[in-house]
Amino acid sequence: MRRREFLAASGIGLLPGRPAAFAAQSSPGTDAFRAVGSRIRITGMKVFGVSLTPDSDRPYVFVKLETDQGVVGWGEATLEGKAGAALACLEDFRDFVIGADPMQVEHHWQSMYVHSFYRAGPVMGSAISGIDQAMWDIRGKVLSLPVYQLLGGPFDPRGVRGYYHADSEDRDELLRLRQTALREGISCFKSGLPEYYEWIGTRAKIERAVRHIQGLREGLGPDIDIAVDFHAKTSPSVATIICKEVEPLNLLFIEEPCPPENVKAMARIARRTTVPIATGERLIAPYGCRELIEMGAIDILQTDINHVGGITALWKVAAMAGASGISMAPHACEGPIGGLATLHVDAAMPNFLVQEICSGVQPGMKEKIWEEWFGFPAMRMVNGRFPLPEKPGLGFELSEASLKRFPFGGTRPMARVFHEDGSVAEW
Amino acid sequence: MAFAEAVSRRFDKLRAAAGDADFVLDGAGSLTPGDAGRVAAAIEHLHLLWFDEPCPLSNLSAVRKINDESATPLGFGRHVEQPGEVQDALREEVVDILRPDLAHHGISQIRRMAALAETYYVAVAPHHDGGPIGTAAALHLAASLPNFFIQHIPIPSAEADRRMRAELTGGPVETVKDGFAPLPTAPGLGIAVHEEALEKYKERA
Repeated sequence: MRRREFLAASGIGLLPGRPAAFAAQSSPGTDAFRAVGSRIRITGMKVFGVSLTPDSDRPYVFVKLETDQGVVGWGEATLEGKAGAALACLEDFRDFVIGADPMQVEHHWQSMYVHSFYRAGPVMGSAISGIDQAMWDIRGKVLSLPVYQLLGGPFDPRGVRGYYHADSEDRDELLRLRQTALREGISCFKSGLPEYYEWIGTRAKIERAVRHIQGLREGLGPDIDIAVDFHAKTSPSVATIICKEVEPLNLLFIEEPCPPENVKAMARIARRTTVPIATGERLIAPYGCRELIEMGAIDILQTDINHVGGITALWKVAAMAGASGISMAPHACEGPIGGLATLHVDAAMPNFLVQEICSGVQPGMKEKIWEEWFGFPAMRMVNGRFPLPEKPGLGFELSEASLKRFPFGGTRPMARVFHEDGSVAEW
Repeated sequence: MAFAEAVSRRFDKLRAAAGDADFVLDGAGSLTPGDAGRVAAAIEHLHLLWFDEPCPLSNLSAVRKINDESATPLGFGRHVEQPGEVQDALREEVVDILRPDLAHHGISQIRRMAALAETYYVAVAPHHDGGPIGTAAALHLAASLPNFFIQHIPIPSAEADRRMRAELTGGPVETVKDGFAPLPTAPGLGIAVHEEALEKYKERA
């Protein structure tokens, strides 16, 4: 109580003549923290929309914070299908950021979340995520330590175990993938389901789904971990049937076996099968994960550092998940800044399982551009693991000029798919 | 009920003597849930900060009755072993203020428990009855937690003991001014443990 009175009192001092009810408002990192905060102040915020291809459904949304000490920080707020909203929401936070002490990241996280009054959904969650990452980047650079060291890591000196996507259904291609994986030390792949499902499934569709998953195991062999992303295409009823059929295949996990809004439905699936259930990429803030973690029904959480609320929130979610014996396998299907930021948090999680990257074993155009930007093969594995960044902060330098080749192509929707009768299907 | 009335009378006297200071009632885990519930209800009108460790945190359904029957905030946590026990207490809605112990749980574990408590709108007031190094750690922990509420600082009443504690940490870290202990500004825990002082005050067998 006294602490709150103290904070309020300092606000009154800053705003003479304002009514007391409004006096607690003050700009961040000002008088209340003068004796104990750092002397660094954020002086600029630049926001970038970056489209690798003009029609990309997920232009990267990057944010760069500049300080009066010359140190800069980068963060990512990419929101698939809603780039314009994420860019605008970052601008909405300008008053929260300019003049702030970037070392007080928890304070600013709380301010952005609480003072927004309406609690964070994906748009606000992504904007907070970008600013949070950029502040952690600055903190690490100022303290000359990689962010994972600030978080108490690393737990594993070999780096961060990861998986690529394996989208093929072709037996020969899967066999070749297995050979590549064994040669390169890759220990895990993820695939999807072959078609779209209604809330009750036909026998033919269910059997095709089961055969697809069996084919993955036959092609990739017994010693590579396989995850299957249902991508919320199935209802709890359909998902449970498929899960039970594939129990003998010992999958690493099945992801989003139903849509994310109803966490009790998700928990019901998990209770009815021994297949580990993973979900969480669409959950925002630690508050958004509480009920699912509390139920203790699912096995793996996949919150995304670009949506959940950045490094601060991903770390907290991992700490909460640990209390329920839930492992972490964070989602990453956006740009490279969030990807690299995730590695730092992964390296500091005692309950870390595996890290996603939406790439294949062969680097494509996207991966080549990332390498040009950073000067190293960002988010590419060595011996099945992402190497730990060694430089301070998030561990990279990025020039604004290198982004100019990829101007913002505008907001584009994610895939819009429909059933045979024209009704809306989950993608 | 005689006990509850005695508690009530005692706080009336404390209030009269100490003006607008706030108080916590420590049950030291010594009551049954049934008795604790009656006490919690009887002291509700006193608006204490909270009723600490009214009974052992053993049978959650029995403990829950205390909170069901009164609005007196309850503090628990110094004896828990695992974050999972904290989660059970939060899920069963038996705890209003979480009280992990500095020496028992450490900075890292308390930070994890606090992250969990935050999503239940439950504050953290770490329990601490150890030495001045623990106090230094407590100050850093407090400054890093958004849901920190207040820190117990075990300042001894004897002047010699207070001097010893300050000597051990190379200067005082337990000075409270206007209700606040100032944050250390030096790196690390911000103290310089004085090994000669450790030797001087060592317990001799």
